[in-house]
Amino acid sequence: MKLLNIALKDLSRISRSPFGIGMALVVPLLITGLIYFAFGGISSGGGSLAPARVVVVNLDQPPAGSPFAAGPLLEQVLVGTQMASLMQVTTSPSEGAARLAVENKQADMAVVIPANFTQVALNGSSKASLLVYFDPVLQVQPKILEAILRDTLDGFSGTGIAIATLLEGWKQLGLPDGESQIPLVERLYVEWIRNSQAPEGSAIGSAFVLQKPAAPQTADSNPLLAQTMAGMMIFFVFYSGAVVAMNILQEDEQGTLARLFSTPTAKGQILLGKLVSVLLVMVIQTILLLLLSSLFFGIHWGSPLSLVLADLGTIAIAGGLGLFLMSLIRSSRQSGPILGGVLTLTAMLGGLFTVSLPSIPKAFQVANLFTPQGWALRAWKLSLSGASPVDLLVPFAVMLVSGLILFAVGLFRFKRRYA
Amino acid sequence: MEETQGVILDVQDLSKQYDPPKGILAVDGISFQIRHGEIFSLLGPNGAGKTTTISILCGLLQPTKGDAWIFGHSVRREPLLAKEQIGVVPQEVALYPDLSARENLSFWGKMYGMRGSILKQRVDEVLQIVGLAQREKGRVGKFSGGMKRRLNIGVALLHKPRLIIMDEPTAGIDPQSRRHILDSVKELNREGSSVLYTTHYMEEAQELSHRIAIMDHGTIVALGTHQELVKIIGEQDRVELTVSQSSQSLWEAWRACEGVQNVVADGTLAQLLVEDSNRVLPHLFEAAAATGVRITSVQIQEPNLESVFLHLTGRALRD
Repeated sequence: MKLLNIALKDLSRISRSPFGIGMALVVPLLITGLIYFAFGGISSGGGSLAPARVVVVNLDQPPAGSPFAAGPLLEQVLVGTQMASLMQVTTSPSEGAARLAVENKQADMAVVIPANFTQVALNGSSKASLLVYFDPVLQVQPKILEAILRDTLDGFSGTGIAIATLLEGWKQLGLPDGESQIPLVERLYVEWIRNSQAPEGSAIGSAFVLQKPAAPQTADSNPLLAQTMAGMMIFFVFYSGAVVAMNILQEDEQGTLARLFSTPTAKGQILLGKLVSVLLVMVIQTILLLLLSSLFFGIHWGSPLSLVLADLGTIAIAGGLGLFLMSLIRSSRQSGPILGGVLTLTAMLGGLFTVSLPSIPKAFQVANLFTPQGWALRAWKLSLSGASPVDLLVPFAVMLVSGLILFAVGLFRFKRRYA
Repeated sequence: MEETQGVILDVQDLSKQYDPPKGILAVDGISFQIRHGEIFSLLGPNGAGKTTTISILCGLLQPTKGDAWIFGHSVRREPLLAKEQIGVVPQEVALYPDLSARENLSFWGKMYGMRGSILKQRVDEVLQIVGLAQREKGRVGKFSGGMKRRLNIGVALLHKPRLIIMDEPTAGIDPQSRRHILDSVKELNREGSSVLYTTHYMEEAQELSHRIAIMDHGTIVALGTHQELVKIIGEQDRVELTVSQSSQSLWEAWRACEGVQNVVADGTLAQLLVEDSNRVLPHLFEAAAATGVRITSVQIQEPNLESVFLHLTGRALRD
């Protein structure tokens, strides 16, 4: 009972500290929000990339009488409704005007279709180069445009090969006047192309399907935003663990710890009461952060059991590390290097600040496993990805055992100090 | 050891050495007893071993040798039972500044096993005793130094202990708050509490105590009532002289004068124990003139605890 009284007293004191509340709850949410807004949701994968402004200059001059005109077809592909979310396409009569538009930032990219484009597309007898003129600041959009153009050009080349093969077959079968069928083939091809640009269920459209991971838990949440939030939550939970454990040193300096020891309460019970307060603070902190991040960022943290395992493991290892670190120092004035140095360094090595980077060097991934924060992040990532509780057993066990060992060593050191 | 003949605290051959075997011997084999209803003071300069003694009695330190029994409970073997009997007022204010006066008292009451309506009633009573009933909801961090000191004492009274241990409760506070605390101690004693009081203020020990133990360098150099202690130095007077400049040769000259027992100098202030001040004073002036030093003030005092300490240790109490 006295143990709980001590823990609740500590909790009451912490709840009255605006700084403590800020560091425990507001700052993790704020940093995650800032990262999200700073990168414009680029890491969301949710299609929030701003559409590029593209100017198309079609100089193509198809052979007279040919039903196939590659230039206008390409223009149609770019203007097609399927691309509207990626590009806002306008046309311009001259290459000079289009280049000027890019240089004056009125457009992001210009596509110039050369005069012999259809001729080359049909027989490949000479070379024709599509020109893409773009703002060098852009990184992603030119690549997308290049991919679209390459796909379309591959289609044209395929058409040329198909016609040549058709005529050859015609000839081998001894059918008369194969050359006269070319306009028919071209017309059929043009119709196919036009149909393929239809918004719903066309041949090209159904050739591939864009699909997100099937896990239902993350279906409508932003995975990298969630991982960033997980990183921030882990960092500040570890911070809270150390700060609340530091309360033992502060009470020692204020004289209240000695007064506690002068009451008819066993020293072990007093120290355990302090430890319970560390755990209670972290439990409340994580529950609130999980709820608030779900509310503000729409994060789905995974199945309840996986979430509980990740949370309990994190609390165990953060509390254990906090107590252990504080047992190494003599006064709260020495806590700066611990809070600012050790926790930040292990957090960096644990990958908490690089969680949203797409590719991490292998050596760094290995280094993650040597830090408590790295294991916590691993557990939360698994929970976020919809992994089953069984998948979380290894990180949970590692965190629990490490946390208990650190707890025991920290408690032993404190008990010896106050013996 | 059983509680016998009204003895509520029995200290026997108590010693404490920090970091043995080469560390400081802070308390060196002291023995004393406190009887029921008594105010007992440990008087001595800083570093005499008073706080170490108190810390052992409160269970904060383990003695190296000896033991103490509080109402028959050994502080070594039954520390929790011993602690139940005492209320401790530490030297520094030991309260939670971010909690209110009532919250502080409630928490500390729980630490003494109090609960529910009994705790609430006792908190109300203690708030009245320490004069903070009107400020019960105020945060302690915003209290004045004197208010904090009073609440600091109030915490020790919550469970109505039969022995209150006060470790220099007036150190570093204003005269008005000091007066309030001294009156509170007397009032508590009138209501039946026994008090173990440590101080380096001779006047406090003299005003409050039924008996006084004078401590120096970890030992008790004298123990008794005020009258008994003063008798130790017989008819000696304490003479306090202020001189125009500090002079080693003058101190030596004074020590050589007939009738001078002791000379303790601090800057331009010198304290002397003399057998007959009327007879000795002319010699002191002559010696000063001979060394070229002018005496700017003379104060002759009746024998008191300061004189006793000077007599026993050769040093002033405030050294």
